[in-house]
Amino acid sequence: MADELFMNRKGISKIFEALCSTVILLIVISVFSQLTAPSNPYSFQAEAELRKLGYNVLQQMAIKGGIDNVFFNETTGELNEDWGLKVKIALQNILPKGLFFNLTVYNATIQDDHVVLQLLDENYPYISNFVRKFEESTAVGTTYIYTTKNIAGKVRILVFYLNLIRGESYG
Amino acid sequence: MHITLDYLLTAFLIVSLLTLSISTIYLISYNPLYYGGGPEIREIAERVTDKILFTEGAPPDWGSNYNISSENLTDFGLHMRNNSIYVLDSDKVSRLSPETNESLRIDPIAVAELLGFTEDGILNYGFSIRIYPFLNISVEEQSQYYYVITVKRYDGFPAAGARVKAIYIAVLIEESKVKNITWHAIMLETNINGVCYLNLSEYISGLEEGNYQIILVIYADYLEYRSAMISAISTNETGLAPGLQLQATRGHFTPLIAGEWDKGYFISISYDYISAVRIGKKKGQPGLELHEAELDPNAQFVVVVLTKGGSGFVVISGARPLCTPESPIIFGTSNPRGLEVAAVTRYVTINDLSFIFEFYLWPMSSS
Repeated sequence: MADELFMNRKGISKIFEALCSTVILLIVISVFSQLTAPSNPYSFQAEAELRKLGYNVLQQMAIKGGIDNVFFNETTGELNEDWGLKVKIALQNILPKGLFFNLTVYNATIQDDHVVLQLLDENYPYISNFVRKFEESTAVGTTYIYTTKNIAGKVRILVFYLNLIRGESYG
Repeated sequence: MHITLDYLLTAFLIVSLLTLSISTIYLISYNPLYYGGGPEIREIAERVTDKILFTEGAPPDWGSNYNISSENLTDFGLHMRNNSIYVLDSDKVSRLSPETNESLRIDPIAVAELLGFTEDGILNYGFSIRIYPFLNISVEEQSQYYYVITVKRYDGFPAAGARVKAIYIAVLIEESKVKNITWHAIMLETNINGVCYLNLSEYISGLEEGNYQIILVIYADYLEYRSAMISAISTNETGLAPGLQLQATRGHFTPLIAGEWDKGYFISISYDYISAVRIGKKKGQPGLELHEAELDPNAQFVVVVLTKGGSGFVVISGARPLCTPESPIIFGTSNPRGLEVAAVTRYVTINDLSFIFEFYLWPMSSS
């Protein structure tokens, strides 16, 4: 009788051990999965890859006339008031989920043989989908220079500075 | 506790752990975007992607020159001649598509050899190319002349705030005669769920009375990142009419219209321009004739309206390459496999429309 009780207790303790081991294993596996499988596909992409992606996004926007059409009024050549909002919506939808961006657009002019960069629009000092301040050290920057077509007699040189950062960097 | 229960519980735990392990390994093997390979394989993948996207291949017209096959293709590249980087040649891309006639389809093994992925005829690296539209557009008819347009991103997220241009082409065929062809463009914007609504009744009510065939061409874009689809929701006949072939080469749609058709109209559609050409019989020749010069070389879609005897046909042909996010163009040695799969993604333009280009590379030894 005593032996049977002892064996039963031993069996229960073995099961308890097995359960504990399983729970520990499951925790380890889930933590490991979280570490190795980030929530967006670009997490493991190197700096160069983000830079190429930034250039790719701006270049595709530019070659099809998207910049001219959205930024400037076709008749007057003046800057459209809502260009910043449109660009923000577009970038939010074009870029892969989990990437944060910060875009600054400058107007390049030549003054006294020097190239001077001025913000294109004081109302939009930057366009971003990120609420906190971007830490430049962790972001990857791409510079893209674009000459607009002749819109109502005006040709502008725009300098785009697009900063990209992976979501995990701010986890 | 009974020993049987012990065994049962142990077996359950072993099976659970095995299942979990297998599912984790499966996830690693088939989601290369998440686990994208080591630095070396990634660098090779990026270089090869740039090579494919920035070079034309040799001969440079291999896409439209049907004398070029896998045997005499000497270099592989998809770039379109005299265009910016990331602009691809639709003819070249089409020759990778499974939809293409097998005799014209390029052999992936031959491409692997050209890209230097083989040694002594043995594959050292496997690769896979996937191309699909940036936006996925679908149209559903809710009632007569009332449509729900849904726009989603390539990854399935609703495309909120997308600019939508809906072009309808209304065709009235009565007693084997084309009585009216008319078209109109309507600008819309998707809501937060990526949905917008198109009501054509007010436009159709202003037209001559009759049972119209409606062909819808929908463009959706963000800052010119554009996708498109064509739908013949209300037509009697879709697909190719008997005796009709449309061949797309060099960016042109060449109609090879055979059969005893009486008359026809050829409508070419691009984002900014729609043109209709009447096609007729040439004396002493069967079928209808249309010169290539009359076609819009930038057309993304073609609608052909044909009449014969007592019936009429409306035929549509879509933008090339024909693919959707659900059925992308997949070209390569096999599906990505193994633990060291590098994936590179780029945005590209084909035929003035935006596509996602993905390139996967993996060493064969680890598969």
